[in-house]
Amino acid sequence: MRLIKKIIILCCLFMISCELHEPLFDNSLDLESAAEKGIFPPALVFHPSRVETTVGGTVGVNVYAMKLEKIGMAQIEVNYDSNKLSVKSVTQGSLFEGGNSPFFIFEDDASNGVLTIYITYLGPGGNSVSGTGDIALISFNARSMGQTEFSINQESIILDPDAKSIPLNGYGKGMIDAQ
Amino acid sequence: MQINVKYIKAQVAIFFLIFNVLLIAQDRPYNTMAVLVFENEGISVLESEVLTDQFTIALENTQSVGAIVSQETVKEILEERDVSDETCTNESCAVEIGNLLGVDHVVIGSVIKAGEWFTMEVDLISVETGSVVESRKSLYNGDPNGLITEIGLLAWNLMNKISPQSLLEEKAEKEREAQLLAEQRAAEAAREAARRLRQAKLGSLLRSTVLPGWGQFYSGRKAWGWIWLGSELAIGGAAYLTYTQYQDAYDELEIIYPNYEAATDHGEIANLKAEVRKVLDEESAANDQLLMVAYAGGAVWVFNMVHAYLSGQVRDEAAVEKSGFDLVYNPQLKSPQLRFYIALD
Repeated sequence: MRLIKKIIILCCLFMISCELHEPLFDNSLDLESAAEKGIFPPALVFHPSRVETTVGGTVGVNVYAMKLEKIGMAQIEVNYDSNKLSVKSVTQGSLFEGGNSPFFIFEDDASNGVLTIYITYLGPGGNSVSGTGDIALISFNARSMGQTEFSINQESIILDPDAKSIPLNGYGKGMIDAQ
Repeated sequence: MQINVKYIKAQVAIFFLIFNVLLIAQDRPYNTMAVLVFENEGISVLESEVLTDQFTIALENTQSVGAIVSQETVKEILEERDVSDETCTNESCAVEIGNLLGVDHVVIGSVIKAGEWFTMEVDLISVETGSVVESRKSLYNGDPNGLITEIGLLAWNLMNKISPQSLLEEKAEKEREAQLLAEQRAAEAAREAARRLRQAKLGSLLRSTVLPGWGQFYSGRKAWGWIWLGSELAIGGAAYLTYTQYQDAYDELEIIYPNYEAATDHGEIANLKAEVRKVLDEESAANDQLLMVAYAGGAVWVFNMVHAYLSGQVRDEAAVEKSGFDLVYNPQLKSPQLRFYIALD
């Protein structure tokens, strides 16, 4: 009987073994995966780009600068579906740190579903930052069930310390799945 | 002086017998003859006596003997002399009894049953010389009723006479009946054997479906039983090892992939991604191997079942029960006991 039990367990193992991981490799900061989606540095992306929550739950999504050089100021516009999401809070990220205290404000047009984030080092010839890092952390509140997209608007502006525009090659998109 | 009436009657009977014999003796090769009850083996004394009577009747029908002392007369005289013919199986004994009976010849014989075969043997012994004059042996296999015909034919044969047509026809008829009976029995036996074989095959198949090799053990093919069971266990072991590899890769991915998703450094992301791909390949390879082993295990299982059915045979109980344990009641101790037994052949 013990042998039969072992055989039955082994048979069960065979069935379990059919389950295989199928990773999406959708880390928005993965340069390879981003390139597959048509996003090349310098770019602004969300991290993580896919988040799951429950209706009424709050999730945080970082706005990341991907391989940007000498940024002095950023005006980032985020479009979202105001019927399904609401902005609960926006806090400054870790990229703009050091030197003069950076100026950070945001403006949420909930009726149109547009969140605008401003961040800059004060004064001409101010500091600049380079590389990849989080500019802001947006906390969204899921208002209804289902998947909803949010994206960085192409009207977003990145300037160097001399107020010269830095062209961007990619604008990230994100998704919240509220169960 | 006490007069024994029975003895006088027997002596008178023998006197008249001898008288009659003298009248007809010239046409017949033997004057007087006695037939002793045939020795029996595998049949009862009563059956042996009936066969002896039938032989005697057939002997009379041959008209080769002047007079045959009846069984009753033989018994009476032998009883009077306190002699038993039950143990008389050789020439000297036959001669002794022949002298007591006052006959020229004595017939002794035997009817032996071994299995389905009857062996009938008769010897005609000359009382005067003490030698065997004629000896005949007959083998018969068939319905016991046919023995009477056979014994009749044996009597004709002993007297060196051609058997009458009626007896030969009777024998042929008995042979046909015996043949028919044998065919019926053979057909019945074949059907029964086929039914038992079918049952054994199905029993073997069912057992091997539950556990590889069990059916072969059931059929008494222990070597094959071990082969199938061993093969399946070996494959099971391989499956377990492969599954362990798969599970390790699976668990590792459960840890690495969330790290990849959470990473924000490009270098770290690239490294983690490479690692995820490597473990993913390992997981996939282990899974493929596991499937292959599973297919092999399944195939072995199916072949074992097919083999169990094809090689299924009716068990030789004696061979199977060569050793074992059982619970028996010991009347001396008045308690049940565990018994171990083993065949010493």
